[in-house]
Amino acid sequence: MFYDGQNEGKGVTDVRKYLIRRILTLIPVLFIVSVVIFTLIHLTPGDPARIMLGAQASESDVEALRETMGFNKPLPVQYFDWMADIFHGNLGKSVYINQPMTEIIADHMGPTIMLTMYAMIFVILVGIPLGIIAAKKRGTIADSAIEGLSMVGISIPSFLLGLLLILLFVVKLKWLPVGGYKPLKEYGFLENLRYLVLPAVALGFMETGLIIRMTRSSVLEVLNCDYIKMAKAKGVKEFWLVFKHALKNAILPILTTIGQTLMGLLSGASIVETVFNIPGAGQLIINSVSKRDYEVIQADVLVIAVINVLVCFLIDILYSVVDPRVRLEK
Amino acid sequence: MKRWKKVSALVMSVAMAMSLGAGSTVFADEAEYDDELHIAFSDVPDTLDCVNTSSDSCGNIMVGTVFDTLVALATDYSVKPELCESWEISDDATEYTYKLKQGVMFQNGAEMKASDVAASMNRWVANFGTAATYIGAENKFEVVDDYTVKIKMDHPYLYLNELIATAAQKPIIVPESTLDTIDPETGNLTEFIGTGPYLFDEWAADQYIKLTKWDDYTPYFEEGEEDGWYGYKEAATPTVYYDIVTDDATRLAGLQSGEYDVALGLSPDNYEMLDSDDAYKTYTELDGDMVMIYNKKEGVASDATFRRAVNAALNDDDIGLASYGNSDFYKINSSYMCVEDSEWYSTEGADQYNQNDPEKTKELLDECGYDGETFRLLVASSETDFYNAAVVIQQELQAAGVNCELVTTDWATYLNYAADPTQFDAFITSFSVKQVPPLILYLSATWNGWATDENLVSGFEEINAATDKEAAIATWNDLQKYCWEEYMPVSKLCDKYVYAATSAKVQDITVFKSAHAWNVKVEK
Amino acid sequence: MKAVQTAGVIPEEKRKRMVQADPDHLDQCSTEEIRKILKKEQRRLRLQKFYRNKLAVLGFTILMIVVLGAVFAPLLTKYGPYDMEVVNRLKGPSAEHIFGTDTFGRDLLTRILYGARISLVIGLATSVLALVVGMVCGLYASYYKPLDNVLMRICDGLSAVPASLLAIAFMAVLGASVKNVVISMAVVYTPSIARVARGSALSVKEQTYIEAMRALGARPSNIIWRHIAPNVICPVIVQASYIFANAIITEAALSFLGVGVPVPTPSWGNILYEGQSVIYKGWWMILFPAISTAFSVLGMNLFGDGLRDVLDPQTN
Repeated sequence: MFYDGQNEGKGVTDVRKYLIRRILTLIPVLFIVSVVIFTLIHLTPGDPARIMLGAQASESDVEALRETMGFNKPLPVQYFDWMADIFHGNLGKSVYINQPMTEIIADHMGPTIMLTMYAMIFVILVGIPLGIIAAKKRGTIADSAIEGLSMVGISIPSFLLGLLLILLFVVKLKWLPVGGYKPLKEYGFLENLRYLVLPAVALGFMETGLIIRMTRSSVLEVLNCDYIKMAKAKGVKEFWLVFKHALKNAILPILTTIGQTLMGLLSGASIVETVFNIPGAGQLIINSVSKRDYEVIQADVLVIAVINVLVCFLIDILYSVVDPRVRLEK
Repeated sequence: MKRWKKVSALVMSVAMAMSLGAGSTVFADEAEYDDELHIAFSDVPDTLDCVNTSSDSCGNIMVGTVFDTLVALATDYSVKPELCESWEISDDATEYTYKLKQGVMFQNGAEMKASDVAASMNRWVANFGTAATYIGAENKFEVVDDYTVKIKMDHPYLYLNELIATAAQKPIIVPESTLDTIDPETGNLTEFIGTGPYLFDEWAADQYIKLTKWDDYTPYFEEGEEDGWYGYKEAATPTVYYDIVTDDATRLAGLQSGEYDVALGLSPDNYEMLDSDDAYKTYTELDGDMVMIYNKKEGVASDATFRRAVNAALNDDDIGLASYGNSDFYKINSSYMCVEDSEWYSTEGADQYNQNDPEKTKELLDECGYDGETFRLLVASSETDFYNAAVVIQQELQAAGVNCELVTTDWATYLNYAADPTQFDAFITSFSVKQVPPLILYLSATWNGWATDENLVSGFEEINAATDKEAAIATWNDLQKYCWEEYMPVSKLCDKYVYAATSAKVQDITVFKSAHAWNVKVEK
Repeated sequence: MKAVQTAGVIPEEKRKRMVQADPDHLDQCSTEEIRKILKKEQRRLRLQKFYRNKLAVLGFTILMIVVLGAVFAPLLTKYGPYDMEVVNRLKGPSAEHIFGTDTFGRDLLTRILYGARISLVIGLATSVLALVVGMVCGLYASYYKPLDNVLMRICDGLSAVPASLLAIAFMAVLGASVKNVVISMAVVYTPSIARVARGSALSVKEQTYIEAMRALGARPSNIIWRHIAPNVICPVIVQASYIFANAIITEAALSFLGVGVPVPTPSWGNILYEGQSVIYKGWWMILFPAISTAFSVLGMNLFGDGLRDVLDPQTN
């Protein structure tokens, strides 16, 4: 209705050029990630030999094991060794877990991806409708109630919410399991969901609060536009108005928020995974940091960073699909 | 590990086929019990090769289930023969001869022979610094015949069996052939083949460690002959999961919801709730002692008068209560050897313990010319009990005029700092119950804190070399008195107790130095 | 999106405000006096708008209550934040201890009041630090193309790493202290500020008067700080107000991971975490700090919303 159509003739070559350029910018980003992680991790005190031997080990045993493990090389050398390995498709080796790195990462990524997906679905299914309702019923009790809910969401730390959910649904009602993970492939969708529903809610609750607020203000902004007012005056049904027109125009900021949400969820997953004992990538990071399993941390973070960067990339592309007015090279 | 899975699968299928005929009646009996036992614990082991780690969780999971040791500890802290039939100690305490049990099978189908035992024990001595110190790295276990091993040391050492039974790094007996499969990078076993009733099945990182019944197992004790780590063991529940649950509240919730049959490492603050509920059983046991260890090598605490000043300010009742929440879980006890029935138990120097006397602290501080230097108290933030003790100690010391600063770090950093004399003036940790004083790590000259005092070192040498126990005990009493009254290498804070909680359906569980899976049945 | 709105008929009032907000038009009027009057008028209108926004006023009031509580903590309670009576640990609310006592027998109300100081300082310091660093990065990135590539890639890199890990790693390297909690959280939040600042700065930079100034050879730092920055500050402040609230919750999460404000210093985060471990025995250890946190986060968010309405001419 209001697309000016100016950009419709944008050629395929532009898109391709854009894609190539974006992919090229990934390289410095990932390089920076790798340097930051490598330096941080190696600057922290602690070493795997001592951790493996435990608190009561003697100094001579620690020295001997450290020698075997080969942690006595200078840092830049270790970094370039690691980089060289990555370019050869070798992500490294865990000190503690007797599995190839790709398997470790894949095993731990599965639960995190499922958890994040369920949480995302929860956020979208609850957040967007509530946001729209709040916008439509602006100033009513319903609006205030939803606003209140979103505020509660924003102000409860996920570890606390997780514990409260466990107390209610696991200890009191005994409806759901306390934690753990059942892979989709072996146990089916229902069992998978049963284990992840509470964590997904605990993880998604805060982001839901944010999405509600974002949706509400975006829809309000559009609803206040004159063309919508005009359409209303012309007698277009309110329901259609909101869903077809208003939401369509509010979708861009919401999309941005969803992108950020996804990154927020991935980052928040480590805490929820700890509370609900889910063997995901977040827990892998936390455990590996506490054990100084350097190569696992590096590989895991790198993979998560790639996912994050790709999500941003995808969101940008979605932008242009949803709204052709957005020029890609912005 | 994969290869081992194949082998175990083969072994199991053969065993299943063989037992099919006799199976039907047995199965009817077993139907009343669950097929799975879930034990929730938090302290994830870093390796399952018990020789190479001093963390308790590895031994608690693997020893008695998958692996066994030559001798084992009974609940009265006496040492009993486990894989050996008997032992002999020469009069001068330099030569030990072990007669092995015959017909003990490894899970790979081979019989346990003296060569396996000697190879395993020598690996243990080589990899475990404490053993190398006491036994002497050059002294080896030797094969006498297929069922006899002996070791001849160049010095007397009366406590070898105590060392074997209580070592932090467990001397597990494995087939000599598996020593070839050791990972060169970490020095750890890659195949876990022992003589116990359970096979190691799977270690799903961050999820669980799974043990399954070894069907070919024949117990080498009579049923009923069991006491602590020692004695009759069987795989009464076919599958055991050690569920790794790091968050305390989640472990408790899982026990309440029925997902876990046993929960370990729960907070004493939840004890009353579980103990008063018929749906649960609780098992409380002495876990060891909590100790503040001074840095005697460098810094402000290298002055013994200053250490005595710090010690005088401590109110151990408050420290114990803040750390363990409930007076059932700590005990005021000044003896470095915790167990009261032990012949080594001593009340020497007790008046120096739990003084709660800030005035005396101030006097002693004046005496040593203390000038407000920072006293850095190191503690790992993940260890709630030590952390709480540190908070109380900081308060008490500040009130008495010591400028105490808490250094809280994560576990890995803590391990590094505690081994580095420049990073701390004291740190807090706990130790399991020891059988003989020389095994007390915090009085060691080489371990963190560095108790290099000549009197202490020569006293321990005397005790180690003594063939007359009475004389050794007398020496020990003097040493404890000297430590409390003059040297003050550590401030012992209190004895600590822990509990395991199980659902009321769990039967025949052994709780001795943690809860163990053997012989446990879970009612349906 | 802006195009959509200008396509419609602009109400008179709004047009006037847009004129005031846009220095281009002011330059046409061009005397210093008119400029001052307009600025004053603008401020008055904004304040009026803020006061009319009841929720924003409510948020401000809540915030003030919390701040006053924190500032006058010593007057509001007879206990000190570190006074222990271990024998009285985990006692429920009573006349002696209105909020009960914690695991060390310290007065919980006192801990929460003093904890408010730490939590507010952390929120404020984090957001200010992120604001300053983020704004400098964003402004310079928008102005110098090569710098843009470097700075924004660093921001992308930092935000691609999970925030929890960044914080854990920073805390492990720097050591546990309030200062380091602030630094590590500021590192996490700076990229978002930098992006907002850069986005706004880019659109300002393209306006004709800036181009004209560049053509006339004005010093870049002069252009950046005297002409671009004032136009960027509003959205950045709004963003920072959300960071303020968020930082308080994040600190709680860090406490859960063992890298928050180290004991015995009270913060809402570590009080909550302490409460989580005794939830069966001391509900008050969860309830009161949670309510305090929720209450202040609510206040800050309402205030932030109000701020946005006032500072952003797009909303009404």
